[in-house]
Amino acid sequence: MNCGSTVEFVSALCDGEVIPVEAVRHIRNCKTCGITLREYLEIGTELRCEASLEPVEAASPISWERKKRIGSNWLREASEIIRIPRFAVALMIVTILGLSSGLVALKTRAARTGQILTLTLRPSESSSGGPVQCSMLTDGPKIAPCSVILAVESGTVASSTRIVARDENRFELGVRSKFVSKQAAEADKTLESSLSYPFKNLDTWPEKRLWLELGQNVPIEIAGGETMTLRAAFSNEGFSADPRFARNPDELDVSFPVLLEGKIVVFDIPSATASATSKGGCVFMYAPASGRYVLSLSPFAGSVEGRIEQNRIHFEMNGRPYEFVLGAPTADGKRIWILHDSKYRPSLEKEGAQDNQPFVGSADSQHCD
Amino acid sequence: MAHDTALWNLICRRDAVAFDAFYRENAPRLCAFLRHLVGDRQVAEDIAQETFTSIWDRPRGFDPDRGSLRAYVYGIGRKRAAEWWRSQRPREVDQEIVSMVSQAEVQSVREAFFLLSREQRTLLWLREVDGQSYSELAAIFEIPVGTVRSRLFTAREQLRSIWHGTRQSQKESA
Repeated sequence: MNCGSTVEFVSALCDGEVIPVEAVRHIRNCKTCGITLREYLEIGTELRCEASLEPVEAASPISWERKKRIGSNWLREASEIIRIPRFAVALMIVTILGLSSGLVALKTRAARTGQILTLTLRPSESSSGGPVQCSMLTDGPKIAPCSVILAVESGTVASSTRIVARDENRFELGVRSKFVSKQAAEADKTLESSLSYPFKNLDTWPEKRLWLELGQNVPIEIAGGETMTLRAAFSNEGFSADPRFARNPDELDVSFPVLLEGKIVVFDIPSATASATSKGGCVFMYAPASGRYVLSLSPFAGSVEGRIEQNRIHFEMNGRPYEFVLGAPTADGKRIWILHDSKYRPSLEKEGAQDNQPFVGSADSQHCD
Repeated sequence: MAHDTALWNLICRRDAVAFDAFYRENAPRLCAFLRHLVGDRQVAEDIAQETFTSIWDRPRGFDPDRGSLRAYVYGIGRKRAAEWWRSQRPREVDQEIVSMVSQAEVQSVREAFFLLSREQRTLLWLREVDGQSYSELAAIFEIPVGTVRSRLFTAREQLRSIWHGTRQSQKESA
């Protein structure tokens, strides 16, 4: 095996999946794949650190016992048995539900605002590595620990810190650290010893407890003669998960598409999603009896221009208005180009492909024709 | 999985205590997931509550052979988020707050993460932060396990590529 055929297994290995023996052998002896694995793990660690900045709110209490089952059976039976217009049945039900909703919906929204603690871990001055920061919430039902990998002079330190207790601006922290020297990593070629699993068996590492005041530098000794300094400060910066706030300008997302011609549904492909992220890339949809629609944020041969409004795409073909209604905002721009190929059938492109299954997919600019 | 089956049986028998414990354990994480999809904390909370309420009102459709109970709940939440979007009329987004992060401006993994597609972000988030297994992700996104593996790889590789490119250009400019 080579790096190209193994790299997908590196990702799977990151996730704790069992991978083929040949892939394991290659990864163990390949420096490039080892670096890739380490970087994938670093990405995961960094994302988890970022996630700890997101305020986690407890679930709003709901009184399940008082929630009566709004069964669909009696609803269906009522509309079938009662010889009055269905609209009247619907109106009656809406009225009943409206009156009862005040009794049923006993929701209390709990608003908690946890402060964010940013930890700075600095290796000893003789070390070539710089400080590393990570942040965590100080309040909540499950506070993720702050886990970082620190480059020190003679190797690497993996460190995980959790909040044990708090007294105003003082925190009792539990710090677990593990040092792996360069020599040890080189001498033992197994993945486990080479920081591929930096936090493996974390629970078995000895935990050092210490009280830390905001702004105070506390030295921590690590096995192997290394030291690092820990410092804490409050941070007001949160992690915005709002997908509208940042998006790749070339990104085109299509999810759960419905196509309307005027007010008539042409097709509905539930649960299907596809994204194109490269410039000139496209998303395509196929529905039996409708053929294929190709969408791109760049103009291409045979396409018509459409208009994006968040999760909707408006366009005209042959003088008739069409609208895609999607399960999420599709792109941040306003303009989009659409091509309809009514004669397209998957079996024409690939022998044996099924023509009766709808699907969506994406392609880069080279393969959008 | 046996635990899921036992819990599901309790839910079907209208055991409010068991369901409340399940709700309290999973609702905050479902909310965080839904925030990625709808971009609004309040809407995410509403959809999460609707998701749990619908399961409580009509407990049916869970098949332990197809995935865990948690994946089943996330799958319903994902569909409800899509339904919510489909029911929305387009509204003007405040251009002031829509700040694009270009590849050249990436300073952290977090910013590189936002340059991934929404689907890649969601998948990577559920795997790395939420700890969903491959089979759970397959159930949530209704795709084969092999596709989960390849999509996670693509997402990681793209994130790494963006991050590498940034570090390279920073080194060159220095």
